[in-house]
Amino acid sequence: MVDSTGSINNLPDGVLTEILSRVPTQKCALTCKLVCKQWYSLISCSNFVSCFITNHINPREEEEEYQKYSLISQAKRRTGGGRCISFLGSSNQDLESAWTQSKSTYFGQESEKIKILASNKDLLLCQLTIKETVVRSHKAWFIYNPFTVQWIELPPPPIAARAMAITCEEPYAKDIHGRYRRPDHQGRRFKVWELQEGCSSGGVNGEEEWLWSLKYSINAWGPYGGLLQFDPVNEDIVYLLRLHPSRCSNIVSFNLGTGNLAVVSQLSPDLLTVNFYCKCFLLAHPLWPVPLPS
Amino acid sequence: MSITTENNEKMITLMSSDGEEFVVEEAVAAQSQTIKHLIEDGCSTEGSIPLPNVTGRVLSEVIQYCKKHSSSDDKEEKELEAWDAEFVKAADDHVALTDLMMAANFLDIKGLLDLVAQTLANMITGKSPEEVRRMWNIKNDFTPEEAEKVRKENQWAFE
Repeated sequence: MVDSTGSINNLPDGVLTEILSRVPTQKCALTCKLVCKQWYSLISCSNFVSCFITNHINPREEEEEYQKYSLISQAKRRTGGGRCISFLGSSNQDLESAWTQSKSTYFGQESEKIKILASNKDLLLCQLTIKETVVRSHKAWFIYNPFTVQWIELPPPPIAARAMAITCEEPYAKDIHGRYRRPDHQGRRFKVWELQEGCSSGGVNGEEEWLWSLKYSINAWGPYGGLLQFDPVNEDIVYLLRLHPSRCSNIVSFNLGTGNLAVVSQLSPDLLTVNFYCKCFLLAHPLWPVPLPS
Repeated sequence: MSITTENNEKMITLMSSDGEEFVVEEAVAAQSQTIKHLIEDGCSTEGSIPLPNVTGRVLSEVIQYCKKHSSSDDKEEKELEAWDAEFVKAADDHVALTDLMMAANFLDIKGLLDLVAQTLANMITGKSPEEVRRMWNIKNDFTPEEAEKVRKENQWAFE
């Protein structure tokens, strides 16, 4: 620049991100957040995360496409009691300790009331429920960024929230022989369901039917379990919860194409009861938090 | 102005912000996507290409890089890597590198951008926020309370 004062902050944000996203570790990037507000906001941005990952992906790892995310499972007893969140993936311990520590730093005593609702690639949608009285409670929603370890509170919904759901036609449908096949047509139908006032939120019959269909495909399937999540990259793979009341419960991956079944993770032994729910979420990359330097 | 040399290489002239002119082979200059597009759009036929964002000092460094990288397609990667390392070392300091980064961005030269960005990132690595600020004359605009809050957010990584 003609009038360069030699300060790095004269660079456009995109160029500065190019530089900062090349520091070797996440710890280093987090240190840079303390330099000034401009750096703080650049590093907090989700664009930074994708730059960081792009700059740190080993070309060889790129080939193993679906090694690139972490699976989070969340399990909780229906009767109350502890909620168990585990991160499955190459760096799950780092993710898990980051999650636990940043949650208690941010929410203090309320941190136990935080629940993961959904994930979208590198971000998690979380909900905090605070009971005011026995029947009244209010909820707040947060976005959690596992890389920058930040919480952002979402504004409250503009109208009183109604129970709504979006369903999507499954990527697989049952054929006449009762086997799962990918439908010939491209694209999928979405439906938006709205719960009418006065209705209960029941109606899990559809879900049961779906589970039964999967049972048909998998010989070694126990009496309990359920579909948790389709793989985001390879739709041939679904993650299933397999419950054995007397033995270990685990999360298994099932390849609809080849019929291969593989155990992905064991569930915590104190959840060896069918009386809990389990959900599965996905994070786009297991690369963060990157292993911390020793 | 288009000149042709003995080898029949098409030459073009680049003009820096301070009016310095550089005559280079088109193949060398075209490593910059920005210049390549300007040439394709016919901007080079009528005299030199003005580069208002780049000083002569920086432009000569950029040209040095482009020359090396256009002539050594078939050479060994290792040799080029060593050359790159010497090149950024010769660029002297972080201020000069920052200027070079700006030019690489404006001229859109991917290899140079990667090289300089990585060099600057290495300079930041291992420094405390205070050291980084001193290096680039960055003002600390956090209040002590704000800084404490950020530190708390990061705490888990430093235990």
